[in-house]
Amino acid sequence: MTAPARLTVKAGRSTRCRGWPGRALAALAIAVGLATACEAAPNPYIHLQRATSGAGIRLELVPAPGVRINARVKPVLERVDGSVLAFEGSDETADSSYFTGPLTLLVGRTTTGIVRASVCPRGERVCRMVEIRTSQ
Amino acid sequence: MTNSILTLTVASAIALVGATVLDSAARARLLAQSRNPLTGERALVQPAPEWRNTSWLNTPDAKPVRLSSLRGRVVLLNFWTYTCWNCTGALPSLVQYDRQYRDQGLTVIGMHCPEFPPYAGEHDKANVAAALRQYHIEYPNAQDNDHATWNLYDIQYWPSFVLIDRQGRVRYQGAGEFHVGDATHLEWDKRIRKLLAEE
Repeated sequence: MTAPARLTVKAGRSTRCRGWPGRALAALAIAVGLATACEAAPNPYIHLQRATSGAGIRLELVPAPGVRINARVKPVLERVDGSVLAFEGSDETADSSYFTGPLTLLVGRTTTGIVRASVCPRGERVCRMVEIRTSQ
Repeated sequence: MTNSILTLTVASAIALVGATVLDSAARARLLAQSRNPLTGERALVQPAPEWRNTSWLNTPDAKPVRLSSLRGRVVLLNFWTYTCWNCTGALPSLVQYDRQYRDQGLTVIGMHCPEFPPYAGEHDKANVAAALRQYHIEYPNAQDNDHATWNLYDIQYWPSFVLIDRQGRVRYQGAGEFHVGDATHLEWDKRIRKLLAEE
């Protein structure tokens, strides 16, 4: 009765050791799955485009049709290092209240952080805060 | 090795299900966000929760105003920020209500709720004070920098409005810019007069 119990214990240890690569892969799979889910839902108000050039990374914030972006407080990229960079745009309403076209931001290095913008869809008469997480 | 493959297969399945669930939740949240708030306006009867804001403007000695101290008065709460055009567009209406109905029992309260983090300046009391002067606002305003009252009243949009009756009950809640004399201004005016007429 004693010997099988010992064997069971040894087998348990051995299986646990062999399971590590599998668990690591499992964790990776879960992480990938979660990341996919977070990026899967597009924002209905604005979307972010990214282009890399010699000068760095160019981010473009494009409002959906009928969506205006508050120009009183410009959209920003809050980077993980604590720096805050403002987007610039040229297409504005006649009273300079809102941006109506794309806004751009040239970033020299990492863009990892959060893009924040106050968006005001035409016809709704309200504003919302939109946050988009960025990586790279 | 077989165990590893089995574990990976199970984990992948869990990840896929998790991704689908999260994606559905995110979509539902976005769908709720994208609803037109004007159609979400609602008439309610429920006790108005007490706010706890400590930083006030336009009150004697900058002392806090408590909802409990306003029992017997009709209260119009306005959730706003000075950086929001839709918010400042509605301020002339609120100033008019204040001047027109204060002596009849209406108290207008501004809840200043920043959109951006502190670097944008919305959290600074001096900036809020400047906005109050700019828009000729004489009614009390609280700083709701941590959005505690915003969350307490389940507010989603700038600007939003909550009308509380003399018994301290929320009777109407809505969102969206309006202007002096337009249909929405007249609707809120009608609601205010209705509640002022009640005992």
